[in-house]
Amino acid sequence: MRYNRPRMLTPPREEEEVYPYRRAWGSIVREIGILTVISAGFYALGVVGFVIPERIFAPLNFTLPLLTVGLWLYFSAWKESRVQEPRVQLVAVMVVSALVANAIGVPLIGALRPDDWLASAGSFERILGYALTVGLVQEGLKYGVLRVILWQEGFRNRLDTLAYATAAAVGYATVTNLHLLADGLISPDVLALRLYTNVIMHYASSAILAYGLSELRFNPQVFFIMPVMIFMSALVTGATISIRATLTNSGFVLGIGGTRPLLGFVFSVVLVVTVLFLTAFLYNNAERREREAVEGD
Amino acid sequence: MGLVEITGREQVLIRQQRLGHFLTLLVILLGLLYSLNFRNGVVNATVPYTDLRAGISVNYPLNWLLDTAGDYVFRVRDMSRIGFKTTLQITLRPVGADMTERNVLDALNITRPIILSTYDIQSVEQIMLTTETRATLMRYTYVDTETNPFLESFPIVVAGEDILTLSGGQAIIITFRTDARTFEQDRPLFLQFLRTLEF
Repeated sequence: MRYNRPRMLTPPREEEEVYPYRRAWGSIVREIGILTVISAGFYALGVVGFVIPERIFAPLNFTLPLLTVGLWLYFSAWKESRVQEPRVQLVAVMVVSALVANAIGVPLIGALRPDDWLASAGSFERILGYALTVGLVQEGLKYGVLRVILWQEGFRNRLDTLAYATAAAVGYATVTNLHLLADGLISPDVLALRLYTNVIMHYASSAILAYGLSELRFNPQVFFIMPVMIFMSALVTGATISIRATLTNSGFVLGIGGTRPLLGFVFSVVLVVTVLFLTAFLYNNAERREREAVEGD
Repeated sequence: MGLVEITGREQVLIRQQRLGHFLTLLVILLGLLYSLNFRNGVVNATVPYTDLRAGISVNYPLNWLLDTAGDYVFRVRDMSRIGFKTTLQITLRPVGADMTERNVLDALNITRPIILSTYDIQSVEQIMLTTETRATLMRYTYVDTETNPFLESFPIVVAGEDILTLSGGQAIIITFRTDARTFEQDRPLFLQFLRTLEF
């Protein structure tokens, strides 16, 4: 008796390769996307003339900085726990970055007082001044946190640097945002746009910092990329603070002049989209080069 | 027999990574140091001013508002200040052959209480403006109030210094006024201004 194996009508399914890590870019896009929509919503409230009752200013203002952490906790930290190979130090990096920002970053920038001496400087001087003070302090501290906690076993692949740098950005941005509340009680629709710009600035500069770390970890032949990238990330910080202030503040006008928050908001969106696209291109390019090198061997 | 050390690729990579970290820290450190130098450059940036008719040449801080329309030769104010605008001013007064610095100061002290609220002299002393030029330094305070009542601002205590010296038949009065709370912090600006003054 001859046994014939049953013929399958469809070819056997190939085993799908399961990506064991959380996709960092997806989380970043979702977090920034939701923050953008919320900030645009607050701006729209002001445009349509909706007045937020003053009695909810304080609770709403306190909630807004924590919103960034909430989104990050859901889209990054919680999603991380659902994958095969989680990045286990993610929350630690966020917390340490926040503590370092509060203990060193904010007091140091307060002592340098760049707002006092750069207020009347020219555009180029303002960008360079903010980059060398605020930018280098912030990015230097984030780099220090990532270097001390994770170097180098913590970075298993290139996108680990991005995921951890984003965690550091969220921790730092949240602390600086909470310090903004100490300036006084302002309307939440105004505060939301200020906080948004700050968070976006940290996301953008941290993405550049992450690329520098990934190159140093996985392609150390070009060791000068990391110092260049930390300077570039500081420059992005300096340019964001300076250009956004120029766009938002009212110029000299005849009659009643007002601020232009829409320009500042649009600038922030354009900035983060441009920087993230460029960084994604650099990451893809680096991964492609690595693949080609492996195939060549 | 010589010892040949064979360095592995891994070690070379680690060395390059160390170099990368070192250079990064160097960039941060040099950047912060340069920012201090840059700050000094911005804060101490000056603009030259020369008045041939009055025979005065001086450098005043960049971005301060120059005004020569009053009863003074020259006045600059820091308009970026909130509250009282820090002021540097040079005034000339004709003096007779037998007048002394004290006479000019007395004349000032008679007219000032009329225009400056709670004008109060703190001290008068003799100083050397340069190695050869004697001068009188007078310190005083007064209260500055906003003339526009709609701004509803608090009065500000102003601390001032007048340096008075006689030269070529005229009295040169160099004035520095600022918010009393930031007087010590702002005084280096006045000292720098004095160093560049020629008359």
